[in-house]
Amino acid sequence: MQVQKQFEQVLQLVGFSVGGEKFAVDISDIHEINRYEHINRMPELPGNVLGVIDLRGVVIPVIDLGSKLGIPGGEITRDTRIIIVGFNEDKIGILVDAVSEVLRVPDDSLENPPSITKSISSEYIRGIIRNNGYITVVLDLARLFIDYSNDSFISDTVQKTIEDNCDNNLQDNSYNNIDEIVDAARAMSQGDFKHEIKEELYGQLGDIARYINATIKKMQSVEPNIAHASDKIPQASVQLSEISKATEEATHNVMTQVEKVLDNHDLIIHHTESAERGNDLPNSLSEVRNVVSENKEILLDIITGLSFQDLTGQKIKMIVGLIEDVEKRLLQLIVTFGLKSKDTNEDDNSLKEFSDNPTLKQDVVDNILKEFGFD
Amino acid sequence: MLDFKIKVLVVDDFSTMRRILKNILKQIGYSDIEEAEDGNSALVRLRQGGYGLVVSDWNMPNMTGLDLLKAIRADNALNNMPVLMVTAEAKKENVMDAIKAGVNNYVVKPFTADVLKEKIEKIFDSR
Repeated sequence: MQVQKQFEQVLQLVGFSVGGEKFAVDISDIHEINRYEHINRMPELPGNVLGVIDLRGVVIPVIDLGSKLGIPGGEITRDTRIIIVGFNEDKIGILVDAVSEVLRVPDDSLENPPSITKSISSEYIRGIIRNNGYITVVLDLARLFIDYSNDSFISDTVQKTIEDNCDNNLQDNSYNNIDEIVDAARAMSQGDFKHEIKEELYGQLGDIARYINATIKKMQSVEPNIAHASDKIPQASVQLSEISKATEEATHNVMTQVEKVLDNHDLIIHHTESAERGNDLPNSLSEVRNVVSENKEILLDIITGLSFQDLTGQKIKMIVGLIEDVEKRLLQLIVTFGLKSKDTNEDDNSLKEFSDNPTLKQDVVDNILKEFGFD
Repeated sequence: MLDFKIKVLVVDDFSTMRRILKNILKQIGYSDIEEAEDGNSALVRLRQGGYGLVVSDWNMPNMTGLDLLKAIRADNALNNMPVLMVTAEAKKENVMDAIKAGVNNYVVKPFTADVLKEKIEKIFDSR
């Protein structure tokens, strides 16, 4: 039994449906699951390729899994999903009617498909799983994918779309503009700030400015001004860890008090219930009164305890001052490099993007969970 | 209905967050709650047995919550353990990684007692 258990592997699958049939694929092949969005049709695509979508700047072909497998898929509904799968760098989207759940099943519950299914598309089937009378067909995406990644026709078509997009939109066309950027940068470095710069070059100049900015940070050790400012950084880190300790202590103090208030609330409930039953009414009431006045004292203690914010706030202000100092000196260096106004705007934008982007709120996380059938 | 008799393990490197979680879990109805300060010590405790739910932070020294989750799923004695991730890591790839590693649900910090309760209920509803 022990030995048998050791060899037991768990398969993690994402279940979905196409044309009323249940399918599943290995979760590790899935990059993400997206709601249906407009698919850009293109001429001369192979039969099962519906078109392409733009996934954060990357053009990805979307295939109609239903027609690929010989099962007509349903209509586009609110549940329609595009599952993004991929191996290495290549990705494709797969259109499915709905994503249902994440399945965790023992490896050995995967059965060979019955031989009758070998007639259609069976080369894509990894096996079947039986669950409460339903049969889920587990697809082998690697084999399905090879069809498309080996199809040079489709990559050519996709490549052409990218090029067309670039021609329509000069800002995306980085390569052709490099000579012009170099000219502009050369003129600027010679002090000619009025050198004519096309509007569309600003985006690329912003990139260069960011690159220079990053390089300058690396140069801190050789640039004396910056080195002077960064001398203060160890000091800041000592201050910061003190703040961290102080806030931890203060939070524990506040929590001790709050826990007492919570316990007292239970006491109040207990005494009130006994008063309701009419047991020794005067005594119950005076108990409640005592507890309530004790709570009031504790609550005032909590308010006083919160004054730690004043002390930590002052220390944080000091550290902010240090950082601003470093920032100012860095900015001066950027100005010396001859990149001004528009570039600093670009920098601000990138910072804003950075602070806006990284974390999603609970509801966005819930949406991702929902796509995987957590509900 | 939640079974409040189970033993819950709260894993977070911040003592304050462990205490906050403990208090909220108590208000929800749990009374048997233990703490661990990183994935390593959590795993040692879990292997001693008797736990029915893990509530874990992601970003911790020594062993992260994600690695703890993977270790739990790779351990034959523990691989069915419900794991709720409570974390400030909320980028799409984080959530995807956690789902792929077999997380049972995911709460983003800062959170409310209601959200925590709702997610725990969902974990046990779907079992």
